[in-house]
Parts: sequence; C-alpha cells; structure tokens
Amino acid sequence: MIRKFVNRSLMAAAAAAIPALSAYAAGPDLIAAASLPATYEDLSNQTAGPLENGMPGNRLGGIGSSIAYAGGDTFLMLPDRGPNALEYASSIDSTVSYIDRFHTLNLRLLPATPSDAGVQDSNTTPTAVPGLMAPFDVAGLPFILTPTLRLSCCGARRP
Amino acid sequence: LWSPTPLSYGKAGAFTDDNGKAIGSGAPSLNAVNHRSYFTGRTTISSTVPPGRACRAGLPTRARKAFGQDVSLNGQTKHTLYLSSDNDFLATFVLDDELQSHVYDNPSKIFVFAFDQGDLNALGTESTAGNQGWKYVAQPLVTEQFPDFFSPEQFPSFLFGLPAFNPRGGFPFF
Repeated sequence: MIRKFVNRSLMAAAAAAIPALSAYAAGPDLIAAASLPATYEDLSNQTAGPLENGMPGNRLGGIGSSIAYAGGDTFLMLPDRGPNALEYASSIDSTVSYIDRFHTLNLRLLPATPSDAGVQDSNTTPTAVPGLMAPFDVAGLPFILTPTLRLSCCGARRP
Repeated sequence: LWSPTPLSYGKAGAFTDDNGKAIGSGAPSLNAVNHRSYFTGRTTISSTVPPGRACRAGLPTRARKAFGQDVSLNGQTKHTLYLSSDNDFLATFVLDDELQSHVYDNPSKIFVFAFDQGDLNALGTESTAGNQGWKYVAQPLVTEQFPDFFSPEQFPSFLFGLPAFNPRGGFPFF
C-alpha cells in the first residue's frame, strides 16, 4: 500500500518565485520544505493499538531521530523510542512499549513552476496570528518536496 | 518567526521593571527593510512542549540530516542536504505571548538545503585534517535487488557467508 502525502509544503507563489531565483545569493540555500502531519499513521497497522500513554502505536512521528540516504529519492527515517513526551510514568521517563521501526520514504524534489502558485501547505492551520508563516517564509522556494511513505518496517519490541 | 501584521503584546505601562520603570508593550517595531513584524524574545515556547523541543515555528532544535541527490539550481549543480525534525510524536505545541496562548500543529518537518563547493570553502580550513578544507565527496551507492526467495530467516547466514537452511527444501542458499 502506498500512501501519498499530498501536503506539499510550498506556500510558494511561484509567479514570484521564478524571478526570485536569479536573486539567489551565494551560500547554502533552503530550496524546499515539506511536512508530515503528526496525526498520521504509519504503515505498521498491526501496531495501531494504544500505548501506555494512550497514543496510537503506529503514529507517524519522531522521524528526526535519524535519516539516511538510500539512493534516488529514497530515504530511510528512524523514529526514536516512541512517543514519550506525554508523561504517564516519570519513573521510567514515560517510555512506552513502542515497537521500533524504520520508514522508507520517497522525498521527491520537483522544480517549482508557475502552476504551483498558491499551493498551500495543508498542514498549516489558521492561526491566531494572521499570516504567521512557519518555519520560514517559504514563498519563492525553487523546489517542491513531496514525501511519500513507502514502508514501515521491521520493528522489535523493547524488552 | 514573523508576522505581516502588528503583533499584540502586553499592555504598555502595566508592568514595571526592577527599577520601577514602566516597561513598554514589548511589541516589536516593523522591520525597516522588509516591513515585517518579527517576534522578539518576549515570545516564549512553553506549555505542552518544553523549550528546546520541536517547534514548527522555527528551525527545529532536534533534527538529523543526510545528503541527497544533486540538483540543478540556476544552471548550476548543487549538492543537497536533507534535514528532518523530531516532533516527539506530539500533534500540537503551544506558543505563548503575554496575552494568550496559540496552539499550532506540530508536524514532522523536512527541509532541503542546497550547497556547493564554494559554500564549503567559505567554512575555512579550521578543524579539518591537514587544514585541507572541506570537500564534498560523493559516496557511490551500491544497490542490490534481492531475489524474491530471499527471506529474513536466511539473512543472518547471508551475513556470515554460511550456507543457510532453506525451509522450502531447495538448495541451501541461492
């Protein structure tokens, strides 16, 4: 099963973006950004049961714990020990019986085009601070990043 | 972190500092260059997400990175660096100002940066072996497609180069 995330994270007004490309100064540039909603589930459906803190056992998150390139546009991402930020037992640092796993994602970069004008990040909710942009002013980024979750695999329960 | 509209901060004159002097509202002035209202140090991240944890409103403080495929940017080949944030599996976080709390989604974020050798040269030569500077060296990726009959139970033996037991009764390993 392939779950495609449509939440392309460019709020780019590409009409303004393309001319801006020539103005890029030397130095590392942020060229794309994307997001994966924290309420999404991964593809390990058999682990979907609630954890000790009540969170689903297959919530997609924590992928900033590790990322590795696997060629092409394929990356492996590894969450850490699971959702322990919701406290339920301080004596064990709220560690839950999350089953470790890694995710295979395709992070496809495509050049932004004028047709992408007005594309909104579907993860961006209206905020009390109108116009608040996060994490950067991403309008004008020259690429669109489209994450696609391919596989959630092969965990082992922590003893 | 910025807003195109003026920000609502505390009430001017409502509080005093340690010297008894009334403090202002704390509202930042509009940036003269790009006419944006940047948040100041008086905005804090608190509540459900301790400071220093994932923050959608800024570059995440906990993130990992990996080099990716090269891209063409303005006719030049650039290397890429992918950075992914750790959202601690939390669906939201709260950003407080002095008047109210704002709840934001807290998705996992992925950023892609482009750079070239010139950017590495700008890092200088300090702390590099022999002061030779920084150089991007692409690592060839060897990918192999395992045959369909490759099964996890054979994997350990495969690692050590030993014949493996084939549970389907065929020739041991390949």
